[in-house]
Amino acid sequence: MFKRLNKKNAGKDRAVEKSGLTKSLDENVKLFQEVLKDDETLVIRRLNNKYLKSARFALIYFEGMIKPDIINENIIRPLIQQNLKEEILENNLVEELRQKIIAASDVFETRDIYQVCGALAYGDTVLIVDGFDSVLVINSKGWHTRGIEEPLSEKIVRGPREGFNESIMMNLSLIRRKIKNPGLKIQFREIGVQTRTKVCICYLEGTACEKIVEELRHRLDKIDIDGILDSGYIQELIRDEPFSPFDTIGITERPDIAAAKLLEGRIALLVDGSPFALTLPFLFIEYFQTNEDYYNNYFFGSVNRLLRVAAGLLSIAVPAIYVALVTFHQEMIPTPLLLSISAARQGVPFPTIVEALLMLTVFELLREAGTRIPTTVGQAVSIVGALVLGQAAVDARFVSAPIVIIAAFTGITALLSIKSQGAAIFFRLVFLFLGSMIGVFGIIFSFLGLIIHLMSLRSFGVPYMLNISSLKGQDVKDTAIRAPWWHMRLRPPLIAAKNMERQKKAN
Amino acid sequence: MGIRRIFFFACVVLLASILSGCWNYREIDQVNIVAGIAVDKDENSDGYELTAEIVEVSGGKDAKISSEIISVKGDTMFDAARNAIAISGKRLYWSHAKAIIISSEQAKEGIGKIIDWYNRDSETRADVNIIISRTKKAKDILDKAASIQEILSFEMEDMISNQASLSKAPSQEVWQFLNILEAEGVMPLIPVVDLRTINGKSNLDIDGGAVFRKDKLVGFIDGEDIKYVLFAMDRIKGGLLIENIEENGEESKVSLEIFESDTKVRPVKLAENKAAIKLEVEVVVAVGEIKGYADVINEEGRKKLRGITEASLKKNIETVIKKIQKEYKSDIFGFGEKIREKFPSAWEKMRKDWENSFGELEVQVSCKARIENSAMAARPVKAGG
Repeated sequence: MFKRLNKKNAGKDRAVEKSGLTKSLDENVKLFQEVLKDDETLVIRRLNNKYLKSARFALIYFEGMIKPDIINENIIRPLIQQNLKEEILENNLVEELRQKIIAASDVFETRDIYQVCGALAYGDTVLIVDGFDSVLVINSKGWHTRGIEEPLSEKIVRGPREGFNESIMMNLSLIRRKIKNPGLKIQFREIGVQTRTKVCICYLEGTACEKIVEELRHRLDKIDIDGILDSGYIQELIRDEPFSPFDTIGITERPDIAAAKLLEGRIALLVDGSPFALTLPFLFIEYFQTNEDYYNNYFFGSVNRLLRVAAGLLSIAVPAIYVALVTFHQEMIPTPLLLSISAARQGVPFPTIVEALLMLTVFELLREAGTRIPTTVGQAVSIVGALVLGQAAVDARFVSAPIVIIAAFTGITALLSIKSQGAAIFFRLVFLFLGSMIGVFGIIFSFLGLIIHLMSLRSFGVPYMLNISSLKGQDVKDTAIRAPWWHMRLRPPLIAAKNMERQKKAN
Repeated sequence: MGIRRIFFFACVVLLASILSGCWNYREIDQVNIVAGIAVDKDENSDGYELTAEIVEVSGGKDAKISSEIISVKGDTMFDAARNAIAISGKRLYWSHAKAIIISSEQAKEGIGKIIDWYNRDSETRADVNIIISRTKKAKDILDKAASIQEILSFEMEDMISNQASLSKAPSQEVWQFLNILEAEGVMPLIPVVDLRTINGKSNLDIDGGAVFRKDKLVGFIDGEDIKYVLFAMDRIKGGLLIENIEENGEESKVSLEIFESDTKVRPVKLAENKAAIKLEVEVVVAVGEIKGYADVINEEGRKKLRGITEASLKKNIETVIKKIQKEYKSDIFGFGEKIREKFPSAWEKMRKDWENSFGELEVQVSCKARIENSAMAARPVKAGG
C-alpha cells in the first residue's frame, strides 16, 4: 500500500516537473502560485529597475527561511538602483544579472521547476526575469540551527568538544576543518520523495576502498521512501544482516571520530537534519572504542578499553551466571558466599529466575523512564528506583538483596557501552533463559551461539569480527588494547584496501 | 536469519530443555547444606549412625548462621543419608561439607567402606578432610563441642589447614586417602580430633595422627611426634623446634621457626631382597625466641645452636621412626613406595613380606640445619650491668 502511495506522489511531482517555465513573467509567477498554492509563507516581490524600464523582475521566497539582509542589500538594492541600461546587454539579461549585479555567493540558472521548488524550500530565493524561461536561484538561506555544542551522547574528558548539529553544511565544515587534503570527496544525493533530504557521502579518495564506496552508492540509490528524518532511517535501510540485533553501521555525533574513521579508510554518511553521522564499514570492536582512547596515554586507554570489553561481556552474562550458579551449581560458589546468598534468599517467594527477570525489567523501566521524562522531574525516578524498588523490595522480602546487586551491576556495565544496548538486552535474555533452564551448559551454548552469530556477520563485505581472531601485532593493535601511536602503522585491512600505510616504517 | 531458522533454533532450545533427562534445578534456600558428618557404628545392627551438622541460615537483613545436628541410622551410608530427609525435611546438600569424622571404634574395623559412598556419589566431594575422633563416639564431637566460629566442621577445616604453621597434625582428604589405600608400600595417616575441656567448656582439639594399616586403625601418634613424622615424609611447611642450650652453666630455651624444609628419601640396596633408607633432612630455621640469656647469635653461639638442632632433630626423627616400626608396623612414610620406584625388581621380592620387613628396615637419618636470621632483633636481650 505504501508503495502505491509513493508512486502516486512521485507521479504528482513529475507533473510539476513537466509544467515548464515560459517567457512571460506573469505566467511564470502564476505558475509558482499554482504549484505552491495554499502556502501562505510564500512571498512574491515584483520590482523594476530605475533605468531600464523594460526590465521587470519577480522575487520568490519563503518567509522565515531566508535572511532578509541578503535579499535587501544584495538582490533588491542592486536590481533597483544600478543602471542596467548602461551595464547590461539586454538580450542576455539573466546571465548578465548573475555575473554583474547579484551580490550573492551562490547563484545558478535553471529551468527545472522541481529543482527550484526544492531550493525555495531550503531557503533560496528565486529571481524571475520577464522575457526569459529560466530563473536564477540565489542562496539566501537564513534559517536557524542549533549552535555547535558538546554532544550529549558521547561525553569525554579529553579531546575536541565540538559536535555535529542538524545542518549538513555545518557538519561538513567541521569535518573539512580536520581533513584539508583535497582527496576528501564530498558527494551529495537527495533521498526521500517528500522530505528531499540531502545525504552526503564523505570519503578519502585513495584510502577508502572504491568497491565499498560503489556498493554504498548502489544501496543508497535503491532507497525509495517518502521521508528521511534522521540518519537512523538510512542506517536501517542500507545495513547488512537486517535481522541481527548488532549494528553493522556505526553512528557518531563527533566530527573528530568521523574524521578518524575517514582516515582509517571508512566512509562517512551525513544526513541533513541529523546530528548523527553514519560510518561504515562498522566492526564489532568499534562498540568499545572511544575517541578518548587515542588522546589519552595508551596505557590508560588500553585499561579503559579492556574495562569496556569486559563490561560488555559481563552485562550479557552476569545475570545468567548468577541464576545458573544459584539454582544449578551451588557447589561452585565459595562456602561463605553460598551461606550469605542462602540467607538472603530465605523467605523470598519467587524462584531466582523470576527474581532476575523482575529486577532486570525494573532496571530497563527505570532506564527508559530516565531518558524519556523531562529533566525537571528526573529526580523522582532515582528516588523511586533506588528507595522504593530497591530498598523496600528487599526489606519486604519480595526479592533478595543479591539479585538487586546483580541487576544494578548489569545495568552499570550495560550503560558503559551504550551503543550496543539493543543487542545486549537481546542476548542477556537468551543467556538468562538458557542459563536458568540447563545451568552453565545453557550459558556455554548461548555463548557459542553469540560467537557463531558474530562471526557470521559482515558489514559491507568486511567480516564483523575482523582482526579479533588474529594475534599479529598490527591486527591486535587497536582491538582489546590501544597500542601506542608509533606502533599503529597500518590501516585496518579490507577496509582500506589500497593504501594501508599510515606511517612510513622508521629506518 | 530467516523465520525458518528462528523456528528451527527455537525448536532446538525447546527440545533440549524438555527432553533432557536429569534436571538438576534446585533453589539455594530449598536445600540443607551439610557442613560435616560424623560416622559411628550402630550398636544394634551392622549399619551406621550418621550425624550431620547442618548449616542453619536465618535470612533477612541480620542474617544469622548457626548449625544444627541431626542423627540418622541406616544400613549403608547412602541409606542413612537418604533417611535424613525424613528428619530435616529437605534434601541434604553435600558439596560444601568440609569434614568427615569417624569414630576410632569404627576406624578399627576399617573406613574404606565408609569412604566408598563418599567417593562414589556425585553430590559429595572428594576434597573433604577425614578426621578420626579419639572420643568413643564421633557424634560427641559435633554434639558436645562448643564452637568458636558458628560451625564446627568449618572450624575443624580451618584448624587442619592452619596446621601448616604448627605441624602437630597431618591432613588427609578423601582422594588422598584413597590414593594411598590403593598404592603399594604406603599407609594412611589421618588427623585426630579430641575434646578438651577448658573452663568447663568442651573445645575441639586437633592434635596428633591416627596410624592405619590398610584401612584399619592401629594406633595413635601424639602431636609432638607428628612433627618428626612429617619431617620424615617431607611434608613440613612450618612449625617450631625448641632447643635447649647451655651457656655458662645457665640453661636457655630457643624457639626456632621452621622456614623451609627439604627431606630426601634415598633407598639403598643392601642385598637382593634387602634395602635401607637414607633420610637427608635439610631445614632452614630462624631464631624466633630466646628464653634466657644465651647468645646464640654470635658466630660461636650459632655454631653451637646448629649442632644442637641437628643432633636433636636427628634423634627425634629416629626415635619416632623406630617407634612406628616397632609398635605399629605400618609404613606411613611410604618408604616401600620409594624402594619400589628405585629398585622395582628388588621390590618384587620384598613386597609380600613388606609389613614385617618394614619393622626391620634400617633408616639412617642425617640432618643439616641452617639458621637464617634472628627475626627483628640482632642480639639477645642483656640484663643491665
